[in-house]
Amino acid sequence: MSINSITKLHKAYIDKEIKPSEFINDTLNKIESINPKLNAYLSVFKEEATKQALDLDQKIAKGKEIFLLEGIPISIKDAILVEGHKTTSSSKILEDYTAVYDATVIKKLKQKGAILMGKTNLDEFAMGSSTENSAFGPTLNPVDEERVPGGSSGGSAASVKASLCLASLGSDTGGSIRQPAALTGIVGLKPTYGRVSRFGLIAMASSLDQIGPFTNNVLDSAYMLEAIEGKDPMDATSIELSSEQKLDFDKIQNKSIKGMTIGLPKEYFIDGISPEIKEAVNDTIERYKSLGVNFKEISLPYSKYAIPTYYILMPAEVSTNLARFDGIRYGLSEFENSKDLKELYFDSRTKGFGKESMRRIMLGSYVLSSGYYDAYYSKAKKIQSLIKQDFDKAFLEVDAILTPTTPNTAFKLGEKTNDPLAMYLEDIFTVATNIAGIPGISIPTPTNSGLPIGFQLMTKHFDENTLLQIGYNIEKIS
Amino acid sequence: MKSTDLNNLSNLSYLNIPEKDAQNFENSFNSILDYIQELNSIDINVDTIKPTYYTQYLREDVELEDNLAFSGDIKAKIIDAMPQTKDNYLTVKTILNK
Repeated sequence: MSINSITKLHKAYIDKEIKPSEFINDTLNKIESINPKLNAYLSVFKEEATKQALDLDQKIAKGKEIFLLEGIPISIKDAILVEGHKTTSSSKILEDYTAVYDATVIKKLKQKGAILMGKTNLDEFAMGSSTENSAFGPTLNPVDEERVPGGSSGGSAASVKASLCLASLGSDTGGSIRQPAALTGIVGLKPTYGRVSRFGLIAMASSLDQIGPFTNNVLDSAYMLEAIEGKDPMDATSIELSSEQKLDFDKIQNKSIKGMTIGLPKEYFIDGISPEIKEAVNDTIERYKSLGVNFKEISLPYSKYAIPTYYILMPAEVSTNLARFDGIRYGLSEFENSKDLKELYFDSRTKGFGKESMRRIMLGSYVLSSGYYDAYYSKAKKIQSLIKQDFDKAFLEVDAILTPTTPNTAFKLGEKTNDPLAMYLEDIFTVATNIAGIPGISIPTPTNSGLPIGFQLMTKHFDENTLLQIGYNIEKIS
Repeated sequence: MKSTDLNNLSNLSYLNIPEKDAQNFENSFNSILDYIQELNSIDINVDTIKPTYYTQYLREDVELEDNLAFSGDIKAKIIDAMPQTKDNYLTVKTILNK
């Protein structure tokens, strides 16, 4: 049975059209058959998933009520801790590390009865835009296996697109949910910074990281977000949501968007965008106009500094966060082969980290070093404020902002691996969202190009209701 | 960036850059640093602008009865994950020269 949404599978379970054990077994069979080539999953929780599904069979047979997410197969980016399972962050330095506790988002999904299918591939420590930086080989794009699925959460995106689960959790530091969602043709949501606890997410850049869902449609993303959001005493940056900020499914599903105004930032509609993406985004704008939405050209003048700002702030935090991988506390250790503590540090880290991780650690050490701190890091933190102010001003005039998610469709494997800067520029439309801390969503748009294309919506802080409402309305007429 | 700078950086970062990769790292650093220089073209004086920091919502300083995240056998699991231990202590290599 082909079911590609959480709500449809839930209905099929309660209508007894399909048993959870049948659906989960079918999904596990697909993983077994497709994953060896696709490399979306790094590990699969076959026994636990099967047992959980069989238990749910009995619960449903007894006529007991079930949660919406109960029995829903979900994959998890391998940077999020799941107790008792390997969590590698796709790095050799954590190749044999087993998580000793659950991330808060995992606890929440478990409480809702979701079935965790396994851990998915990523660029090492979430550093990349193609999932080619994984120590365990690249993930292929299910739409075209010669192309990348985007990154860093490429395994999560591929697992949803290839129907190897119905939803996945990824993390987004500069576009790592939205960009792979766009390149594989699914929905990817980066919530407002602070909306979802980061406790148990292996940190890349703590002030920019945010966990969010991949799904096949907007409504499923809303349900996933509702399940994982909320204040967590274990994450001091997480926020207690006000009643206005909590998700309002009546608004998302039933309220018209007629009369709303969406901003089109002139700095985002630049010459470098591929023609098919321009055309697809213009079509999306026309479809919104048919729903009574007004469009207005706006300016986000400092967004042109978003990528250089990001590539100062992010590596600075990377170099700090990855200092903990020293061969002593956990992970790969050259304990036996080194003569003293310093050699142990050097040998363990050199053997454990891939080239992109090394590059960003050193770049971070550079921008934080004496003599350069003010010129780089301190200045970038101030420009971050200007970028944020741009968005704050824009949202006084418009309800949301629409842009392409990416400048190009999925590129071929190996095409950009020797040019780090070209790879970094793939995130040109997504990084400003993280720098400003606002929510963003990538939604697939119909295209004739053969490769998926996504458009991005952004709203003000904690206004995921409007974000999802605008997203849901366009999906209804697609 | 010069090769001496690269050596200094790799030392600061506790990383050994293989000789065969040094030139590649140097080239990529230079192109990234050139790109980052774009921030110097910003048309206003940023000295008076306040940097963005996220508020840390700290709990009250009270003794907790039980840390839910680290309950049960978590201590044993953490010790088990350490590469080298002795009597439940983390073992490290020589720090001071004899």
